[in-house]
Amino acid sequence: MNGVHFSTSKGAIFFLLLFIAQFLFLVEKLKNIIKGCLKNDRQMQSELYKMFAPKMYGLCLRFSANIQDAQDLLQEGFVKVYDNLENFKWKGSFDGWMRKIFVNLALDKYRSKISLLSIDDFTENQEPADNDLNALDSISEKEILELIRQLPDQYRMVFNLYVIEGYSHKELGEMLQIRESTSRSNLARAKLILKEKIQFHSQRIEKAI
Amino acid sequence: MEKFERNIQEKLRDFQVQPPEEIWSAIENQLVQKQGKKFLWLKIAAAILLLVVSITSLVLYLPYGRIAEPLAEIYLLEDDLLSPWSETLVVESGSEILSATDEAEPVIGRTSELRLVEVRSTDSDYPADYSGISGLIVLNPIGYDNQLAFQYAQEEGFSISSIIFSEIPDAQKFDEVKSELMAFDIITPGSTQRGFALAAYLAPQQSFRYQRNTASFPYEALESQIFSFAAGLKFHYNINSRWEVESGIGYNLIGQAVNGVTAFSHPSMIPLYSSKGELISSHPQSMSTSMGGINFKDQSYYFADIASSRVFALKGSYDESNVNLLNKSASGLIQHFGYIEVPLVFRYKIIDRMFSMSLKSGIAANFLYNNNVYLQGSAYTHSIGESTGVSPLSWSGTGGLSFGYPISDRVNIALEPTFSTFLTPMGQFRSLTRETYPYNYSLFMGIRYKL
Repeated sequence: MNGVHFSTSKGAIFFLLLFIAQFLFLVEKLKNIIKGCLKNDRQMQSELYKMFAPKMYGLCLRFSANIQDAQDLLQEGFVKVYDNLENFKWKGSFDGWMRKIFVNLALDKYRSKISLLSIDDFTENQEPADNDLNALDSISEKEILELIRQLPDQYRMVFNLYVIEGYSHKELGEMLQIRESTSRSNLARAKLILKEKIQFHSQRIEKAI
Repeated sequence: MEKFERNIQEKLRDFQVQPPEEIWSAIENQLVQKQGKKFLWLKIAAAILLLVVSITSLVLYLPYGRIAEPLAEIYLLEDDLLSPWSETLVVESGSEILSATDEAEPVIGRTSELRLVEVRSTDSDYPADYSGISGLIVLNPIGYDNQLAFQYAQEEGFSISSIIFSEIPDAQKFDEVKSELMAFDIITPGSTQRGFALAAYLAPQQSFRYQRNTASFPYEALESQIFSFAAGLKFHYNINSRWEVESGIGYNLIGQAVNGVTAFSHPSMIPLYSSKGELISSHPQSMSTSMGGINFKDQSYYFADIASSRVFALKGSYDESNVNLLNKSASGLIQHFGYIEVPLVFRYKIIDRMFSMSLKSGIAANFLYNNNVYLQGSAYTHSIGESTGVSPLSWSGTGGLSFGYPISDRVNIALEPTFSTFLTPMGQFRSLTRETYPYNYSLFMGIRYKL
C-alpha cells in the first residue's frame, strides 16, 4: 500500500480539498449555465432546469393544494426565473434567490385566489402536547407533503412560510395581509390538523401491521 | 421553534421530487412562444410590406401597365358588326392599341372579327397621314385561320390590301402596323377592362397533413382527414385581359382527426390510482400528435389511448372496473386550427368567352388565430383543450382552376377547385410537429362584383 496510505489528518485535508474543489467546480458550472441561459441557449436552460427542478418541485408541492397547481407553479416559476436571471447579482446563493422567486409566485397565486371567507382565529391553548414525534418518524416525506397539501389554503401558506421557509409572524402578517395574531393562530391550527392527521396515519399503519 | 416544527423543516426544506417530464416541454414551449412573440410583429410587418410591394410593383411594371404608351387609337366607324360569325365581343370607340412588344400574347379560343374602323396615330414616329385612314381591320388571333374573314371581305367588295387599310402610304409601314394591329387584344367593355373587383367566397374543404419524416411518427394510421371550411373577402385587380392579381383576408379552418383516444370520468376524480394503488395520473394530461401536442384542459375528464400509447399521463394500467368510460368504442379527438390568411394570388385566363376559365396560383401568410381540440363521440362534441407547439405564422402555397360565369354586367359567379399546402412546417419545434405540412382540397364558391 505504498504511497496510497494517508494518516487521518492528511485524509481529512484531502477530502476537505476535494470538497472545496468540487464546490468550486459546481459554482463554475452554474456560472456557465447561467451565462448560457442569459444568451437564451436552450441547452443551458434545460441544464438549469435539471439541476433545480426536483428541489423546486418539492417546494411547489408544499405550497399547492393539488398536483396540478404544483406543476403550474413549477412551470411558471421556471419561466420567471429565466426572465429575471439578469437580475441575479451573485450576492447570496442562487438556490436562495430561486427559492424566493418561487415563494413570491406562490404568494401571488394565493393572493389572487384568496376567498373572502375568513378563517376563524384559533386560541393557542387548544394545542396538544408534542406526543406525536414518534408518529412523525413513521411517515414518509411524500406523505407529509400530501397532508400539507390537504390543509386549507391560508393554513398551508402560514405553515410553509413560518415552519419551512423560516419567515417570522411579523413578516407573514405583511406578506399575507393578516394580523400577526391571526398568523400565530393559523399556524397553531395548521399544526393541530397536521398532528392529528399524522397520528391517525401512524395508527392506521400500526393496525395494518 | 418547537421540535415538531424543526423535524418537519428538516424533512421537507430540501426534499426533492422528480417532476413529470412533460413539464420541461411545457416550459420550453412557453420560452419559444415568448421568443416568437418578440419577432411576431416584425414578421407581420414583413408580410404586409411584401404584399404591398408586390401588388404595387405588379400594377406599375407588368406589361400593359401604366408605363406603356398607346401607338394609335382606333375608332369604330360603323356600329354594326360586319362579321356574322363573330361572338359577343364589341370594340369600343377610343380603345387603345399598344405596341406588339407590350401585348403580343396569342389569343386562344376567339373567332375572327371584321370591323370598319378609323385608325388615328398617336405616335410621332408614324407619318401624320396615318391619321384618319379608314378601312377594314381583321381583329384576329395570331395563327388563327383568316380564310373566312378574307372571304367575307372580298364578298363585301374590299380588296385584299384594304382589309387592313384602304390607303397604304408605304409597304414597309403597312406590314409593321398590320402586325401590330393583328397582335393586339380586344378589350371587351365591362369584362376585361382594367379595374378592381370585390369578391366574397366560401370554400368547403377536406383538410389533412403531410409528414416529411414519417419514420419518427408511428401513429400515421391513427390520424385522419376532416371536413372543414374557409371563407373570406378578396380584392381583384385586372392587370390586363389575361392577368389578374388578388389579395384580401380570409379565415381558414384546418386540422385533423385523432382516433383511438377515449375519455372517461373517475368516481373519485383526482387523483387517479391504478389497480395496484399507485398514483398513475394527474392533470394536466397531454399527448402528442403529428400536429403538435395536446394539453387537456377539461379536468372533469381523463383520457386514455386505447389504440397506442400517445397519452402521456396514463402510462400504467388503470382499474377499468372503477372508471366510467364515456365512450369506449367510437371516440376521437378533432384538432382544429383557425388561421387568418392573407393571400397573394395570380390568375391567368385561358378561356375568355361568356364562360371563362383561369389558372390560379399564389402564396399566403397564415396567422394562427384560434386553436381548439374537441372530443367527439357519436352524440356529442365537447371542447377539451388546445394544441401546443404551433407556430403563430406559417406560409402556404395554393393552386387551382377557376370557372367563371357572368350573371350580370357587374356580377360574376365562380367555382374554383383548389389545392393548398403549407410551405413551412406548422410547428415551432421540429421534434414536436415532426415536419408536418397541412394541406387541403377546397371548392371555392365565390361571387364577384366589379367596382
